[in-house]
Amino acid sequence: MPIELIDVSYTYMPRTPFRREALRGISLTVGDGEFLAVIGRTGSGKSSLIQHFNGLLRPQRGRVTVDGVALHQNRAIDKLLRRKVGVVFQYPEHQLFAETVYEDIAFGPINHGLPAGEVEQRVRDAMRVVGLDFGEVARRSPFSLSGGQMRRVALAGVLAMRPQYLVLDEPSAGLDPAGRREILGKIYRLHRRHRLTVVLVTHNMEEVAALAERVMVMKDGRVVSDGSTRQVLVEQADRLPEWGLRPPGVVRIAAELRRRGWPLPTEVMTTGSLARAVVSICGRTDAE
Amino acid sequence: MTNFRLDIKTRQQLAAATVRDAVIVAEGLVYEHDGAAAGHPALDGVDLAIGRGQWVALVGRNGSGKSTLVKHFNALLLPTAGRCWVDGLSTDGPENLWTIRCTVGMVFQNPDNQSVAAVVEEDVAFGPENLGLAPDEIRRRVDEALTVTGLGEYRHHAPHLLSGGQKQRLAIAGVLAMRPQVLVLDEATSMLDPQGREEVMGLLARLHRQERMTIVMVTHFMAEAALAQRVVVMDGGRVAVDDCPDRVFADVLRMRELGLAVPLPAELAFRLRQQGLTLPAGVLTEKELVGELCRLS
Ligand SMILES: Nc1ncnc2c1ncn2[C@@H]1O[C@H](COP(=O)(O)OP(=O)(O)OP(=O)(O)O)[C@@H](O)[C@H]1O
Ligand SMILES: [Mg+2]
Repeated sequence: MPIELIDVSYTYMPRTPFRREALRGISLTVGDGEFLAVIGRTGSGKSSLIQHFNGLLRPQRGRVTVDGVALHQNRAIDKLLRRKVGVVFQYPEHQLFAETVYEDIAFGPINHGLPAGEVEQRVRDAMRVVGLDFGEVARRSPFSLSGGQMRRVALAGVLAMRPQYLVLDEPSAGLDPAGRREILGKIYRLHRRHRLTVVLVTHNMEEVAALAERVMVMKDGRVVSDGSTRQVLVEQADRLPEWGLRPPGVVRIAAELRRRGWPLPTEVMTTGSLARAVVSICGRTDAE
Repeated sequence: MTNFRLDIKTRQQLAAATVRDAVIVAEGLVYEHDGAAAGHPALDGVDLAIGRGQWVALVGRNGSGKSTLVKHFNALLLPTAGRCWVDGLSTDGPENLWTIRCTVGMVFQNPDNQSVAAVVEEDVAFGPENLGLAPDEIRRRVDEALTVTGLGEYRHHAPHLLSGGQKQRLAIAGVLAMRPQVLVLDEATSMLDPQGREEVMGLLARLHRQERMTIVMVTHFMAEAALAQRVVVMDGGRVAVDDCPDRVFADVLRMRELGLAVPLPAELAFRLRQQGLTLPAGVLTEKELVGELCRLS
């Protein structure tokens, strides 16, 4: 079952001179088992949007349903729905609070009333996904960690709840490049194997090209484009600048080579596919 | 990203330029955080000299010690062992603290937590006012800092209404108004969108070229690191690699071992070379890659 937004609008500080319309009549469906990327400039409304997915913001107009059940009916239902939707926010260190890394990650599972053994298993699994060494880090204070380590703890805390929907707001900011690739790779595998639904908010177009199946572009509180990754990043590459975005590096390089006469196919979006295409073309010219 | 590639090409030139006129020197620097596991110091013997006017990128995996190291550069942290000198002054002399804080300005990651005033120009004036400078001197410095950072037209705006890139340029303006010799940025672009990052990187390039500012920037974006003159890679509290970007990023496997990556064009060149294409080492930008590929065919 999906997350559905029907004609959702949200304005910060309404009825003041500082009012800002963050979302303007958004309707969308996040399908079950999808890997959706949400892109757009800073201030385009992405973070406001995902705060509606787990009821953190209450729409001033329109409504939000999770698995067919409307949010904001009563506390008990909201609590239940919130369990299904795990959100990692943009500044995850603000989500940390416990005295040890272990307690921080275990908080959700304990709150769900899971037995201690199961809690520990979940903490260990989550730490493995985010690349934190249990023996080294579990007993430390989360506030004694480096920036990237804190981000990993916050991510592990959400993963340990085993949500059905995983919503990530700029998850790779502050992560080292190898960690970024590894963690997103593992999340991608969870998505493939267990049909975990993932919503990825990111500025990193390479990540979008490599992972997402569907891409939504936001601008000024509206969805201005929504389609398959190839449709948005390749076929609409010329329109991306209008939305304050740039195509991924691979798409740019491929376009430049095409302009210079290289017969590259339009599917080329990732490093691997570009390398293969270039090699096959060079092989052909060698053979002539 | 715009390309401002460097003038210094070899390691020897780099070293010579550094030693001649170092503004920051770390010697056998060791730092153990309170309560951290014994035997795992955050810094484990760092020797490093940063030349006046150099633009250095500091990279490395999470927890490798980058933030701990740069906090020594303005005496926010003092060494457990070893020494750190800033413009000839040892950071462990309390009498030097004031001068050192004026010499080295710091900018951090989160653009929302850095502004203190209701209006942009007041925010920039905050530091100079605390120095007790005369009003016209403050005025001059604020104007200059706003001009350099391209924020002149926003002087009367509220900081919280600026974009991410503008907020970080404002944070830099606030630091510049203190007239530091060295600008240290710890992941100052990591929360920005690509346009905001480009604004900040463009500003750094300008400060480096026109104002001869010494810049030390911690970043996880290898494409940004490639714009610096020199890339220092940290690992396990030590300096693992220290060289110019084209050489650092030519060793793709080593960078992966160190928890890093190389800029996309270098990665592509590496993969193509593995598959038998003859591409020269040191390809770093999209333009260079496209150029080399077209030469092949
Ligand atoms: N306040 C602290 N108390 C104890 N240990 C700390 C503290 N701050 C950092 N550390 C530890 O010191 C080591 C170096 O941390 P540092 O913050 O310098 O890393 P970093 O290279 O900046 O990492 P990142 O890329 O994640 O920002 C890490 O092992 C970290 O866990
Ligand atoms: Mg750090």
